Amino acid sequence: MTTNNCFGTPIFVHDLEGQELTLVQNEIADVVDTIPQVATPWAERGMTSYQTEGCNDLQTYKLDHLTRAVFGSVGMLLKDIGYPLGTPWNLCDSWFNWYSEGDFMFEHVHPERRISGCYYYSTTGTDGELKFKNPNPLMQMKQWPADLLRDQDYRVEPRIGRLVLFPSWLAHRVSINTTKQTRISIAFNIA
Amino acid sequence: MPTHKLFSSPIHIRDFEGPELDEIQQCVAGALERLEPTRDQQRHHLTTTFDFDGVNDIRRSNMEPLAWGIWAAMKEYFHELVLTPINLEIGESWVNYYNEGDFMYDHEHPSGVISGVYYYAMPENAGGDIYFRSPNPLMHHRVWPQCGDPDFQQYKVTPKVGRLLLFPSWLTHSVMPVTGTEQKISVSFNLCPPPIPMSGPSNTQF
Repeated sequence: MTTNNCFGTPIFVHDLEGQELTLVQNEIADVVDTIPQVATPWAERGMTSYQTEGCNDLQTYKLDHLTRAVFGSVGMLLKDIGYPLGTPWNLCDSWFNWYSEGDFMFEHVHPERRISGCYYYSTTGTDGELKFKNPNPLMQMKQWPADLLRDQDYRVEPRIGRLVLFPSWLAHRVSINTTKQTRISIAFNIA
Repeated sequence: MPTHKLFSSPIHIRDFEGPELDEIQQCVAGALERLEPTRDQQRHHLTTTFDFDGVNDIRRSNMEPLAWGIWAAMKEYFHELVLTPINLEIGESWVNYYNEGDFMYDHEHPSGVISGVYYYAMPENAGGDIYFRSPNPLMHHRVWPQCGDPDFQQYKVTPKVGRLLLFPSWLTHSVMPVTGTEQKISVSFNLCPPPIPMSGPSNTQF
């Protein structure tokens, strides 16, 4: 291979399985109906447990299995990209999101954090993709290499047990939920 | 591996060897005898045959073996990236001469789709490294993720005789100052789409 793909943006996608998935799903099922929902404080549509003054539902509701899965995934991500291990990482924020029919989220970033991510607890798989935007402005008026860049977007389909990690500075949005089902996910930030 | 490195900038490096290298070197040597470079002190700091009128030294000076080498590298480039080949031609090409202290500022090649350079004369350990800059402004004030590369904001390629580079024309790059008294010579080029046939009114003036 003589072509070097430089300056790549790492996006981590991992599907929990087996016993680990069962434990994570069960602990969320035990608390999800007790969590207060409010309309998103942003301009888009959806319900959330997010609070601007700070919230950490993984700690508040003692979602220890999910917390372990998140940090296990962070470890895998760091190993994949050759980042030096041993750096301390902290879970700064975590919150639930409920997206019903017609709900969506505009493009945004997660300022002041390093790694952001989400875990899909309940989804049909067709109720709204996560779309990452190419961070390279030099490509916005160019058509090459368009195949490689997948038309400026990278799409991740939701799936129960799927855990996604990405740099907090990477702009992303959530497609509109056109189904009758409510998708439930948990978002988090790490620094 | 569940981590995908996305939105990257592909830089292709091909080192010619053996009879293929000899043939390319001979054709460039012949062309150099016929070219008349001028000093560029305003835009960069080197001597060049570049002009803004669409100079094409590879065509004008019959550097056919180099043209074939470029096509071979481009074919490999598309193949390795699993990209659909597109119709491109050598739209512009010019020769750069670097003497001691010469360098090139950060720049892009707006008229190309893919750009490249072939290193014809390259004294060893004499500077002239090419640096590609990260095109992602969101990373300019960040230290994460470095993706295992301590030089994560830039990618350096050291020139050597017979080395050919291909890269997206939009990717910012610069050339470090050359040291030593031996001259460094390279051939740069832009691969461009063929001209679009005019179907509407022509010679319209604004």
